[in-house]
Amino acid sequence: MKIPELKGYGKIGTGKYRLLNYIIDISELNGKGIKYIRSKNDLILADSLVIGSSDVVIVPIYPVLVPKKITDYVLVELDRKIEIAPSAKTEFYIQIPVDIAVYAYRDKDFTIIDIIPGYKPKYALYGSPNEGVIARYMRTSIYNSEPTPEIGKAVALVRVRNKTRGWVTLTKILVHSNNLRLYYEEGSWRACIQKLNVVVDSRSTASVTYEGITCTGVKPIDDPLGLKPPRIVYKTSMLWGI
Amino acid sequence: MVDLSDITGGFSWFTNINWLQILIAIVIFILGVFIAYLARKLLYRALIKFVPKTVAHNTARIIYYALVIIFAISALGTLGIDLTGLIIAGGIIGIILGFALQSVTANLVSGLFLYWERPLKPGDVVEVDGHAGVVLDISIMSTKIRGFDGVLIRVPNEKVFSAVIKNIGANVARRLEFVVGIAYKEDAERAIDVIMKVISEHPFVLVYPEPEAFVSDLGSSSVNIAVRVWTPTSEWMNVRKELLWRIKRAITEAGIEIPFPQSDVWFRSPLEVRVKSDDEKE
Repeated sequence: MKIPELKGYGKIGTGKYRLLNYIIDISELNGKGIKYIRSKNDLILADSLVIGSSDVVIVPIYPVLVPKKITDYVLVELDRKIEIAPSAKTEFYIQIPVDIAVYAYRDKDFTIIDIIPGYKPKYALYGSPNEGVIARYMRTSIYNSEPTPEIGKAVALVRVRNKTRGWVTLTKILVHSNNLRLYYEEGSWRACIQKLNVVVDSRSTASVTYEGITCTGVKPIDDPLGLKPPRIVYKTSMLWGI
Repeated sequence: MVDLSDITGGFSWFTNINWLQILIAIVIFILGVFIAYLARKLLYRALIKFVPKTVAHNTARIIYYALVIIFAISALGTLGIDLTGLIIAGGIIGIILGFALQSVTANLVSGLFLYWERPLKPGDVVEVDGHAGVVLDISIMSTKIRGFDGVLIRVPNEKVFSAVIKNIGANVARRLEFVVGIAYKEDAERAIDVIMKVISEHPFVLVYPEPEAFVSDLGSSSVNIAVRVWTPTSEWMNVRKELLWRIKRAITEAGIEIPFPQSDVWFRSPLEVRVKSDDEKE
């Protein structure tokens, strides 16, 4: 029997599903809960018994938790350089990586039973080895309108303002995952983050601030404990190149 | 009858005491203790901003006792007590103690300098004086390191201060380098492509600084390809363990030979092989 492919985020029932290269098997546990297994080529990668809950929801999650939490930063490299004239502004869409979390709910309480790498995880050093930061890395295209939803990628509208009196070249954007809020659309792989406001201060420095959500028809994920965004959102400084 | 004048005569020294001088001495001493107390408090508050609590506490206490001793000597001096002998004796004792506690003093001073310079701190992965491990504690006299084999190593601060310290965990990223040898008959460029593919698939091999693989040496038995990658410092050992084997497997699967060390032996004059028959042997 062919295993159906998951078509998007949202609630899933018991059964077998295909997600990326993985097989997700959710079975009932004598009415007490569920058994969750994720495997790849018959190799079991995640195996959990969930007692007292059978509500399983697939949501996007911040891309800093798997394979291992080693950083809070995400570095997105643009596949084309953007040359910005003095005092000029521009807006475009980019994609940032997201992973896929499997939540088990009981009423409003939830726990994460698995996190699946959504996009091939890679990391990069932003800055120097002694002063820089390690960041989850992804290369993205630049879009004029919201791109087609893709599994493992969230969309962000970026507004860039060149505050300097000279031309600047933008090649990358650094964001802090603590300041991100993730939104998703049920039944599709559409995920969004807030609008990113990049202000270029000099030829090699910029600051990124986080504004409101611009996507419509999406709802926020329930942030896991320890990953809730702070009430005061600070800007992220890009001090080692833009 | 008892002559009362005899009794009071026994206390004649009592009447000779200069009470004013004693009062001055007591005032000097009390004032001195108060100043020492204030100095201790102020010094502790000043030092706690820069050095650990124990160091600040001990340094302030040393200053306190030194000041109390100085004021006590001054107080005794006002009473006309000759302290020359005491000072000479103290000097001699000081010299003896100086020699006896030379290493203790050196460790103590080195400990203070280590706190100021901070070449390492608890939690750092370091190599000090040939001992590698995680720094557990830097006390006033010694530095305690937990070796990777779980053994607790105590290194005197004097040695730590003068030793070459490799602070492995001080930076967020660290380079990993190894050499892969392939047979002379193989295509090195293809081998490099295979290696770079394996490298790009490992999540903890950093995209920037860019990894590199290049022919570094024409060895006696193999063409040596140097592989240099950067990893997050916390993942350095795991990447090292995984990557070399993955590269070996990928190279073998690609049909590229990794040669054993081999030597060609060349004889200057042609070799002559003589086979003796059984009759000749006899």
